Amino acid sequence: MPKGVTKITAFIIRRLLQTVVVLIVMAFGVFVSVYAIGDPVDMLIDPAATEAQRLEAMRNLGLDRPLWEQFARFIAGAAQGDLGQSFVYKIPAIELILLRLPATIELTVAALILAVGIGIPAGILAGLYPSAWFSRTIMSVSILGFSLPSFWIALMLIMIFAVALGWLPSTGRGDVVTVFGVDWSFLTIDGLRHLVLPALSLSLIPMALMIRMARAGMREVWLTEYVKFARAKGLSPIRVIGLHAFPNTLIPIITVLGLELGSLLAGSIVTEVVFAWPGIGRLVIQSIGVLDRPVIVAYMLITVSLFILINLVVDLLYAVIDPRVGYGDARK
Amino acid sequence: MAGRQSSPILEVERLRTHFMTRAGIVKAVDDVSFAISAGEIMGLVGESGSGKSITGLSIMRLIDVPGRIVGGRIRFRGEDLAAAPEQRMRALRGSRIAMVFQDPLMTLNPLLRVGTQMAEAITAHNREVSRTEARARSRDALGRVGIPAPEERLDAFPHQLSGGMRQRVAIATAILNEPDLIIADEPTTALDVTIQAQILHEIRKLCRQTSTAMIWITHDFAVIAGLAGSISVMYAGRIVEQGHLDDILDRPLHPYTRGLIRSVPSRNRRGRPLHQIQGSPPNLLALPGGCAFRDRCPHTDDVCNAEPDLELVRAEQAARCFHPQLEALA
Repeated sequence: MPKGVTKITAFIIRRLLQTVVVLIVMAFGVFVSVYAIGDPVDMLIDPAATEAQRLEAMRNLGLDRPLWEQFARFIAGAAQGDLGQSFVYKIPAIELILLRLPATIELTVAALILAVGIGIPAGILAGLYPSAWFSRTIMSVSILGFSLPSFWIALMLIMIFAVALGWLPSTGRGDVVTVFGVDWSFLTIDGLRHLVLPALSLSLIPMALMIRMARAGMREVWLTEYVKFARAKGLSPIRVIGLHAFPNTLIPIITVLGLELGSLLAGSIVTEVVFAWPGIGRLVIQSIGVLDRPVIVAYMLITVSLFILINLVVDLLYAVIDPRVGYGDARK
Repeated sequence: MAGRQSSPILEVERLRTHFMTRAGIVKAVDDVSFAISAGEIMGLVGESGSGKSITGLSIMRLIDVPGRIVGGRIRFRGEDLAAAPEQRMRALRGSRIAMVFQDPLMTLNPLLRVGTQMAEAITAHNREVSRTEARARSRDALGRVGIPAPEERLDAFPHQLSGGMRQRVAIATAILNEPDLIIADEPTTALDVTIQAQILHEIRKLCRQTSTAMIWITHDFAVIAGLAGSISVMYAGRIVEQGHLDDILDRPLHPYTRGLIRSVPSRNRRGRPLHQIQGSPPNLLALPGGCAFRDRCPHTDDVCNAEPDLELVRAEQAARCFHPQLEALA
């Protein structure tokens, strides 16, 4: 046992060190690209300002220093948890993002729950009865989920459920409850109603993916001898499917789920804009518009960290699911 | 022919299992009949694709779409399994009829411990058995198939065991509920020869002790010799020869059976090239009319364009052939 634990610890440490390198390289990339796009000062000050005012503003923001020095200062600050102040809001960028992050997490998690809760059972069903009419329906729906652009689906949902039927609200988070200083919509009825449409629209692509993966996995696993053997033991269909077949399809499913969770957290931008959902996606779009570099960098660092963290958890889950997975050094 | 003394425990009558594929109907099992009594071991012999595994799966009623049992009866202790409801089949599977599969590396679920996979075969059929008792019975079964330190093996995952061990686990699982019939689908094919011999020895012992009947599916006469009492040889979904093992080994009637037996290496023909049957198994989607073995047979003539029946040629030895070979095998 202790040997296995050491191995996992070494694995996690190795992964975290890689993460630090990735984060530094990425921060540098953002610095260079924002520098290449233009001068934030032009966006921030009054166009009629004098040259002296302009220089003053640049000095205040530290933009008068050469790029390498700005970057070095940023890294020094980041090492102490300070990612700089937003040029626009004049508050720490990290605070700005953490303020908006819960809304995005809430939306993403709700969308993934829908995707998994509907997509996986539907996929299993389609895998078990590949030629039944309902399986064909499920597969057609999943093709639509893949191919229709998400902004269009979002607009259609708004048109049908908010405008025509008037059942659900289409903008904002509705009533929120504050827990541990963070606002949550899903704890109030009104908030939940506000959550339905954006979550549904965001869930369609991952749902289509889950349907396809669960179906393909079930079809493959159903032909294996261990599933036949399980059936030959006279087990109930629920046990054969739930314990012998489905768990053996999980490794690819949670891999994709991890990637989807990461990319939804970082990329629910369109959905957040369409539904006026005050998450980090909308924040970063606004910040890019005014070249608010500290916010952009902080956003990138946080989403990349989340991405890496999620994938680390996924890697650790492999071993929970499959006893054959170990965490030795791959080079050995 | 089988079951001279006691009444048979399993009688398969004119069983037909077909697969409705997009390319046409595959008659994987076509008009197969045989019978086995308690304690008897019957060999079901044939090349890959001859329908022997599908026959086994049909008895278990584990044929998936597009396959279907389209005709015949499977009388197990008087009850027709071909017409039994799924609920009833589930009660019989693993309890009265057990099956062991070919590839020991694939036959156990890689994610579950050996003990879990064994105990569930008990608890699926008897909810009153406690976990401790199911575990104890699993441990005893592992001991009976010759697994050392069975208690520890229960907590092992399949990948921690060798192929031979895993196949023993599968066999131990099959005997947990002391079934009346075990269908063994080439269970030793993937194992090396010494392990094969050990497992054969233990299976014979088990069948004798518990008077369990067994269908041993194989393509290898060397495995079945000395194990089975009677033999059915299948070719292209049909039985082409049926009889007692000794009769068939000494004086096979059907040219196909003769080919199979002569292709087994033997001490008497040391140094000489092995016999091989001309051609390859026919495409079941495009079977020629008449005798299915016609194109590969050295004795074929115009008569073979008609369909032969399975007919008694000698006492208790039947063949599906217009030109049964009567002389003993050299």
